[in-house]
Amino acid sequence: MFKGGYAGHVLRIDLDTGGSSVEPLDPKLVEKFLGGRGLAAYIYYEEVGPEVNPISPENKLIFCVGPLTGAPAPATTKTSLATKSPETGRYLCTNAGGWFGPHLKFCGYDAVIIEGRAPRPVYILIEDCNISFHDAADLLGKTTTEVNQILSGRHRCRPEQVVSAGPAAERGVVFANLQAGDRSFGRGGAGLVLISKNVKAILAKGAGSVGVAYPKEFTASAAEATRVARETRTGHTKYGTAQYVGAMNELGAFPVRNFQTTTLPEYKKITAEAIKERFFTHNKGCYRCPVACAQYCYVKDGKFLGAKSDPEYETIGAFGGMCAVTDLAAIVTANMLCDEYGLDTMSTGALIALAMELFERGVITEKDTGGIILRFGNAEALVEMVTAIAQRQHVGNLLAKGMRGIAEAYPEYQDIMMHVKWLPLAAYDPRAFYGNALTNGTSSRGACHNVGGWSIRAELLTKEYDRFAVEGKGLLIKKLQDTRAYIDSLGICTVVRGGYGFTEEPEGRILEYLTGLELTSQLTTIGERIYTLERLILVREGVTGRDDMLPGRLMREPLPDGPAKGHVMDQAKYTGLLNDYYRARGWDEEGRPTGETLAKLDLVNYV
Amino acid sequence: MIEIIVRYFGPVREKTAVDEEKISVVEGSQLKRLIQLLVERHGFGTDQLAQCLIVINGRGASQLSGLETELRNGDVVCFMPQLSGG
Repeated sequence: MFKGGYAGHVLRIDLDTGGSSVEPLDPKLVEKFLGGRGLAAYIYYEEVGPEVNPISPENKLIFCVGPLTGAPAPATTKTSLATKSPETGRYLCTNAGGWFGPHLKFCGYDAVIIEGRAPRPVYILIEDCNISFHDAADLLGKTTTEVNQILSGRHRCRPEQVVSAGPAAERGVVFANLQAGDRSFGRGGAGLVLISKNVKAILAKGAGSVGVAYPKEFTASAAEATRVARETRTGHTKYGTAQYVGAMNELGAFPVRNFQTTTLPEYKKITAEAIKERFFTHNKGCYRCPVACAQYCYVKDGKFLGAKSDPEYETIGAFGGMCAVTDLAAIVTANMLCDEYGLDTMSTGALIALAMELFERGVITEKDTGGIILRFGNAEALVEMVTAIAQRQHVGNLLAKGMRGIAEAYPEYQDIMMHVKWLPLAAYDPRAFYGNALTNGTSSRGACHNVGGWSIRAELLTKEYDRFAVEGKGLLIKKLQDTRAYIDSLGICTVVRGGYGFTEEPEGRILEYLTGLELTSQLTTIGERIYTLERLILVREGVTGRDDMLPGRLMREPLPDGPAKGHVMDQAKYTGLLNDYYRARGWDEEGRPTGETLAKLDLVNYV
Repeated sequence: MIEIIVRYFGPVREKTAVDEEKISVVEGSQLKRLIQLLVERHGFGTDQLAQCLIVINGRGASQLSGLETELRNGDVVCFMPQLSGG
């Protein structure tokens, strides 16, 4: 029995039989893996073997919330999802804010496992202890916004309580995402996994609440976390993550033209300030968030009139930087279309950028693009290509297969395919911040700036971590990854972590006040255990040190201009970084956790 | 006198209303002298500057000598928002 934080139940939904069952949550699992991402990785390890095809009934969708998800404290909004990715062919962990996770907790669940395949298209309603399946024939072909509106109206709840897959998933796009209202389980193609199970949407509607072990003390700590978040995140409230565009361009880290360079001459057209001046309408926040970083835009005139979305830094980086499109209205439009079709904006932008480079090299031509002049900077082409991918038209049909599909079609151009383990890179160039090379190379889900440990702040602030230094970066990235792993497992948004005291050296008592369990002093160890378990999963799925390598362009082409001019992540440097990292982690030279490391982390049963 | 190029990003730019300006300081001046001049010119509050990440020629000021970093002619000093990942 849990005193607070945890609901104490795992819901298992069997689509083959149309049944469901509830299992108790083992308290020992909480002590080892916390919840959220950690619990999801554990269940995945136990239940999804290396032989499982991502779009087969044997794959599972494992939604897990953390002890803080849904609790009366700031930004307790996150849900983690583990599944096998159709985009990478391997383990995927992805998370989303919004209202879905809190309502899973209000229904009484810490985890929901969806397995099998429904005999006909359905949507699933999770309403407290009642699990029901409803015919979804009328929802097929509809956009995520339409589905979320229809179901929220039909079942009287917020659209943000609905998680749905869009038309892109129905057409088999491997990076089709899951839209949780206007938030996303963005990366890796979880939308396609859901559709492969004949499920169009899941709705969570709970009437319960999250128990708190020591309410008075918890409320005081939550108020303090709210105050700190409000005072220290004014930039996020005012500008959102788009405020990084100008900074990254200034630092020479903003990938432009498929990572050919890292400065965009016309970057001021796509900054947070430009958003504010031209298209901003309102802020929006996730569940109980005092920051509300989403900056909603509406295009008031011109050829993209009527488009509306909330472009974040990564989306602007992918469409604006990588594709070199400086028409902000086109970026707002491409973002909106991705949300409607249910596409990951980051993979979509990175793949269009690659196609633009192949077009400019003459590898693909207008015959392949249906007449689209697919050059860098072409705003109309960007918008048309989003639809072409979602509807699998002409070259969009190839891009819909992700980096793996393109590598099969054009193996001689692998050097310019900007991915690690088949997941496209985010909008930070590792040649400009060497720690970021390890971030991407060793992330648990393929190239990822978050899961892999976002190092740019440390590489700018800390003397011993100069951005172009190799020494010491292994330990830095390990610490950042472990920290992110425990934060993702708690169920809060990383933007407010500082207010809670959840840093590389966690402090405070809020977890104890919530759960009655002594967890804070264990958090970094739990984070390390989670990260190591995720590596064990990857090793089981065939990953070796060779898969931690970066795209050839980063390792062979020095940056031609900007503040990082001349820098390249060559083999010698990167091998030095990787060896340093493996040593810091206690992994062998092939990137496998050693027996000693597994014993230290109480993971010996997971070999 | 030496000339420093100063660039503003995010919330602090609202106060300056310009993206970039050149500021002359006496040779041998440190970062804190430049900040003093900017406070006088733009009326920055201490809380606004405390929320800035100060970058000098692509390196964080805290990686150099902090407020005591000696400025050189042509240095580019940027006042950026606090970066925290996403």
